Amino acid sequence: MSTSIRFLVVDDFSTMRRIIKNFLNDLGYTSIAEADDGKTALPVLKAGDVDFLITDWNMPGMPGLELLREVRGDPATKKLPVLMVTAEAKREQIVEAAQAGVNGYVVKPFTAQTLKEKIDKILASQAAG
Amino acid sequence: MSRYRGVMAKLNHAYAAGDEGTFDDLLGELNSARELSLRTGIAKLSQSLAAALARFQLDSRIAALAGHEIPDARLRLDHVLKMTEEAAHRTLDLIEQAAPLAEVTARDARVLGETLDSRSHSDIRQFLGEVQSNAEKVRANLTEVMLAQGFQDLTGQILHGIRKLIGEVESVLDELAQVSGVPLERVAKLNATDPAGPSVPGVTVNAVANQNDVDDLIAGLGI
Repeated sequence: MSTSIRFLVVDDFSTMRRIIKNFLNDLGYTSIAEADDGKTALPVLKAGDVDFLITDWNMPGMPGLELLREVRGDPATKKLPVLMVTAEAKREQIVEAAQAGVNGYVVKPFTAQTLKEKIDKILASQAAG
Repeated sequence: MSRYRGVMAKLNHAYAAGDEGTFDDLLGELNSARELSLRTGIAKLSQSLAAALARFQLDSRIAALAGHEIPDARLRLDHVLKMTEEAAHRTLDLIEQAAPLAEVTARDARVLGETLDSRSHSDIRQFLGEVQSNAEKVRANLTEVMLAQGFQDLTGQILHGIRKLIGEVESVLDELAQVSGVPLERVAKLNATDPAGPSVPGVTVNAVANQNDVDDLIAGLGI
């Protein structure tokens, strides 16, 4: 599995971005960009510098679900792997995210094991697909 | 005064006739009529006084809440946000400093173990010095991480105070609603899928209990 994958971590809390970034570093990934909501994430995504998007849902500006829809609606990014890491834990929300085309859903607080599993699973299915 | 006219006429008449019994009766009638109207007046007065007092108390409570206690609570919450963020960053700093030390120590120990037979005493002494120094730094960072958790005491106290304030606001709103006769049930309803932050047991409806639930749900949707 390539560690040159370029991640974009989108979360309005700098501590959470830092935790996910540290964790990705631990897993051997070194290329990690950050954004604090969908609006600041979009230009980075449009520039085509991202292979894997990890996003929160509840953010001021543009929330994660809207970002996901933007990503799926743009031919350039519609196949980008998107993992949602969020405190939003209602069944309706998870179903809605799934219907909007999310590739994985992790509920906060999460363990390192869970996050690793979901990332690995998405990358494996990307490689297979 | 006109309501006394009839009685007064009779009273005059009884006086002129020297009818003491009727005169006394009529005098008593006059007295009690006067007492009754006085009592009604006092009752009305005290009622409106009570209402005015209640309104004044409600007004001054609202004034205190809006003018002082709520802005104050906002500042306290800002402080909670700042403290929790600082504590989280402080903890992450300490972990970022300590993790490489633990990693280097583990790696060097493995390398030394594999090549022990060819190593001199001074190599081993150098390694032991490194282990000691790294372990001391990691130990010191653990103490700092522990101290950084002290934020919970302070933020907890502030949040408790704000929780009490919210209860007070709730009861004032309730009283206001009663005074104005507006039912309190017109709560803006969120859509089921609007982001609402972390789920709270007993508050959030239809939330998953853990990541396994999420995984089951997602798997059921074919992802």
